[in-house]
Amino acid sequence: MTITPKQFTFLMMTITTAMKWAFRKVGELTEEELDVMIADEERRTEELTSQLDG
Amino acid sequence: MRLNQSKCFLTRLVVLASCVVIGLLTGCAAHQIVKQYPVKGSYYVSRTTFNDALESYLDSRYTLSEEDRLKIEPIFHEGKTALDLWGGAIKADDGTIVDKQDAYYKIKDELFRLLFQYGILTLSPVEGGDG
Repeated sequence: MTITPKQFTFLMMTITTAMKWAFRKVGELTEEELDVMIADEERRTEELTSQLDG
Repeated sequence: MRLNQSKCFLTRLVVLASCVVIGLLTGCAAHQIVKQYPVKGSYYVSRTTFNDALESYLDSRYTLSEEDRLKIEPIFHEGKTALDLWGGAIKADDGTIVDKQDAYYKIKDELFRLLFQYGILTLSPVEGGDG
C-alpha cells in the first residue's frame, strides 16, 4: 500500500493550513491574555505544591 | 482484506501525522509566545514546564523510596520559591529580572537532572508511532 500523490498533497495542505492558523492565533495573543495565562499557571503551582506537602 | 490493510495504514499515517503536528504546534506556540513577549513569555514557559514536571512527579512518586523523595522534594520547593521571586521581579520591574531568572534556571537544571535520573521524566518516541 502506498499513499497516492493526491492524498499526500491533501495531507500536507491540511498540516500547512493548521500551522498557519496556529501561528495566527498565537500572534493575536495580547499581553493581558498572557497575564491571565500566567496567573492560571501560578494558581496551578500553588495547588500542585500543596499536594506535594499533603 | 487488502482494503482493510489500506485503511489501517492510512489511519496510522493520519494518527502519526496528527501527533507530529500537535508536537510541532506546541513547540511553535511556546516559541512564538517567547518571541512576542521575551520577559513574560520565558517566565510563562518556565512556569508551565515546572508545573508539568511537578505533576509527573506527583503521579509517580509512590515508586520512589522515602530517601529519594527527600532528595527531590526540597528542590521542587526551591524551584517554586525561585519562580515566585522571578514573577515578583517581573511585576515590580525592579531590574533584578535577569538575576532571578538565572537563579531559577540553576535550580531547574538540578531538578530536571534528578527527575531524569530517577526516571520520572523520560525521552521517548510518540506512543504508537513505531507501528
